[in-house]
Amino acid sequence: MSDRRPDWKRISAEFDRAEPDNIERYLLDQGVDPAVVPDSVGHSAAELLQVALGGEDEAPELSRYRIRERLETGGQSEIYLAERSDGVYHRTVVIKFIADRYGQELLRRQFLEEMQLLADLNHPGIVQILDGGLTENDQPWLVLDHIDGRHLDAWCSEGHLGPRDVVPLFLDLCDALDHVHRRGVVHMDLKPTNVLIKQINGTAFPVVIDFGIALRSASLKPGTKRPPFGTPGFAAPEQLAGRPVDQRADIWSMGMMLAQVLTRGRCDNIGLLEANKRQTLLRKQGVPADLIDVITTCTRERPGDRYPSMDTLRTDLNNWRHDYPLIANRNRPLHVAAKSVRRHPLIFATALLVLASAAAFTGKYTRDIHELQQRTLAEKTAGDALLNFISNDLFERLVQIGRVDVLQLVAERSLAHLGAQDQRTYDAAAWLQTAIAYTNAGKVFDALEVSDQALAAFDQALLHLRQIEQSAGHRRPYLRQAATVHTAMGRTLATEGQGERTESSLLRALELADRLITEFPDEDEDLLWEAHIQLGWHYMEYGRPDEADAHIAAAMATAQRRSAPDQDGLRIPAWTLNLSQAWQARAWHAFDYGAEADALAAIGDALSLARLTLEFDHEDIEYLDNYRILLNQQAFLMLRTGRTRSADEAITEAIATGERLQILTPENRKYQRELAYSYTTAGEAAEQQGDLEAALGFYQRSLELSGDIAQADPAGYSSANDYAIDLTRTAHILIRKGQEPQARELLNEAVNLMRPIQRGEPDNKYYLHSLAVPLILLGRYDEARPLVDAVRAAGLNDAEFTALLSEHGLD
Amino acid sequence: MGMNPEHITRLLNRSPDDLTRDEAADMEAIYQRLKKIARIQRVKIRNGQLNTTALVNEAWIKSRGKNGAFADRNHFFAYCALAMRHILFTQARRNKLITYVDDDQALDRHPVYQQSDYLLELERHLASLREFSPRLEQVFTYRFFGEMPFDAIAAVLKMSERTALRDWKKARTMLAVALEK
Repeated sequence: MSDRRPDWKRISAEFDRAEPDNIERYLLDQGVDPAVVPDSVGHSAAELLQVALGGEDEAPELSRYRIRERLETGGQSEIYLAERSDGVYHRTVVIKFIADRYGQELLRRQFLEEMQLLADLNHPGIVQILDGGLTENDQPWLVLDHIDGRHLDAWCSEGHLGPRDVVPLFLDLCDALDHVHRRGVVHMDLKPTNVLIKQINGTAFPVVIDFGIALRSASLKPGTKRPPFGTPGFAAPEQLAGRPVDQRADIWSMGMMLAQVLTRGRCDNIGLLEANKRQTLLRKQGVPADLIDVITTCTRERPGDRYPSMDTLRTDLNNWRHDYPLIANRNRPLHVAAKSVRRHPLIFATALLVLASAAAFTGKYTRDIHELQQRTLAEKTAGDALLNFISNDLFERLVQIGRVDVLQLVAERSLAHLGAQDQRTYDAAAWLQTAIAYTNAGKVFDALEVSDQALAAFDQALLHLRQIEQSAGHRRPYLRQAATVHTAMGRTLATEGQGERTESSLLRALELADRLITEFPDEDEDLLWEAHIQLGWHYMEYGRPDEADAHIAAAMATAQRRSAPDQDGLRIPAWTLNLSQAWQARAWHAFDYGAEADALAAIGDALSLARLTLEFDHEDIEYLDNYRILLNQQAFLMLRTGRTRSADEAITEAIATGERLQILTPENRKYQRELAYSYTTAGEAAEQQGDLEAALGFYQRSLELSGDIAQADPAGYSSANDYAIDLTRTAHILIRKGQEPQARELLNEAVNLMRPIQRGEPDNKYYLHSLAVPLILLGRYDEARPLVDAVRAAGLNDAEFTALLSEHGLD
Repeated sequence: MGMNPEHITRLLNRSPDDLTRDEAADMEAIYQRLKKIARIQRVKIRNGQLNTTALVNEAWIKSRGKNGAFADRNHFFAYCALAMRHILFTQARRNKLITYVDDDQALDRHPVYQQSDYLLELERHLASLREFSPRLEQVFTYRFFGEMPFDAIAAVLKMSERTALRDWKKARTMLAVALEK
């Protein structure tokens, strides 16, 4: 365009100066054929005009095609081989009539829009939609490119293709499907017979055909329950169950197709085998273990456990092809590293180098430290310090918005690089910065709930810190960092349920924090406060009220001193928050071991302080979250003491705050969980007041939220558990309202969800409980009975549970 | 057609690609009308050319009887010109959607296929022309796609007939130079 502009400017100027009488001549003088732009479009595009406007007499567009033969009649479509026969084009096409099964829901306009969407999916690996529309009877029809080729499985088995030949075909398939997914379309019917292999310049190239289901599914009215369809074995379980699907349904199908093709016709439909039998068959067929891992990752029951996208699957297939470690094993980096080093030391070293050069900071690590002069080391340490500072700050922010996952790669890489350094050249500053880096990595893993890696990183941090324990010049940072590591470790250990180790770690943190403040009185006391408050919670959890009380009191004293207004009447916001949290701990202590009235009073104090923090900054995510949690707990306590109306007020405010946080941090699942909890409490309040309708509304909103969380949480047994509990709770109300069939549907979903989880972790008492209750409500007593016994043995049979048992005659 | 002159003028200032759904539906209505007239009148190709003027005139007479939505005949002509451009562009793009497995060389030489190429190319240059001067693009569209007389163009765009003629010559020259490159 830019090269045309000067011409245009010149022409415009010339015309303004003296307009030529005869522009034909003017153009010829410029060496331009005037016929290029004639007087009217009728002169330059007559035939096109005729096609566009000539209009065959009320002939449907279909009349352009002459049907040659019928190819197949499936349950849902008729397919014909045809020729375009309007005398304009001569080509062979496939015409497909889609059965009008969901015709009532099919809106004409929507169908045409969706067809356009598919027509725009221009990719060599996707059959091109040439034309389409609705017949007079509203039956959708499509005209597709005719691909003259074999089906994927026939091609592979006839050619006796092994994994090395098959995987490149799947790489091409991943590309095509990635293209499709990025445009918001899910195929939903991938199977070997829907992939044709065509030859392009003697090279086999797979083409995905038949977007029939994708089309029909996309044409449903929003909110309409999608009828279950798809090919058993190749269609993902959520699709067959009629639940919402996304691109991960296609990932499942890809895994099954890969398995099917690699078993070379030993099995008609490998997808119908149970997972372990499938793996056995694949092993027997000599399929490489890593490819089996890829297949397994594709075909996990829960979509969140599969590859998230086609490009990650593609990466792993490519990794396999080049003997790189798989993403599928990313939660086992040591395993991966060991395997890779064992297999290909040279490639692995090269890969590390490549990774390293990708990031400017980490590049420093890979230089050969033997040759580093003191100066370079100082520079490196300064770089580390900067990186640590950045990641510390970044970490806090990412935790708040719920996106720590973006740091996972950074953490893994920094661990790999830290491990590769030569420690003989370290000075004290390097030891310290490396320890901080390990601590940061550990925090990331902890936030991602990869506890064993978090603990390993913290151990490394402590080992590094030991090197500077005796260094007088680094006394202060040593104490500070060591206390930090021990506190963080205590937190991770607590989530792992390791009581004794939690205690000793926190006590060590307390000791170090205490020494820090004694030796350096100008230090902030936050580490000391943190150790006390955590010990308080720890002792409460393990039923040691006196020790808990002592630590909470100590935390409270520190916080009170530090949050007191100065001579200008100003408070330090962070310490006001800490004091609020100390009151919260006191409230729970009172609730567990004292009087409920004291608990309510303490929560009230905590809330007043929380309101103060919001006066400092009413948009601060942490303050808002603290405020909302306290409101939730206040409402809970009020409900317990029968103060339903006050509880209502608290919970309304909690919900409003929660919805605000939801807008500020849409990806923070913990916050979302807390909001779901608000709705649950609101539902309980409504239930107590006998307003079943309102209760149902609240429970359903909670159910929606926990459904979202369960879907978004990749690993999450506990999110699935929360979801199952909400399903059961909602079902319970439905039963009371006499809506038995809807209730049964929800209960069945809860059972189906919890069963594999309970099998996965048979000793978890909460999962036992979450499976037992819906089974009882469904009247499936035989299945429930062993679970009930286990729940009883675990001591989870509270009043509610006991009441349920007697109601169903199970006591 | 339920449109007021301001709306039409606004519409006329837009490229076919920027039409809203409703506007596209209006275009579609005009398209259907043009097609229907073409069919009823059995508009013949004269010397290989379709007589668009006859078509639009006929459309105007038919539409006047039904409602007086269009300010005047000139605005309706302008509207039809834009519709024609839109129709042809859509048809051309649709033709180009087709991909070929068996490389049919004869097809590339087929007039409809070539003209589709031409139209798409022209559309691209019209987009740049609008950036250069929206007025030039409008004059060109009315004349080239609608065969509007210059006094009608002048009336719609509120300019002198002289200016309309000069703009047309200018635009035609500029586009010819651009297309030849």
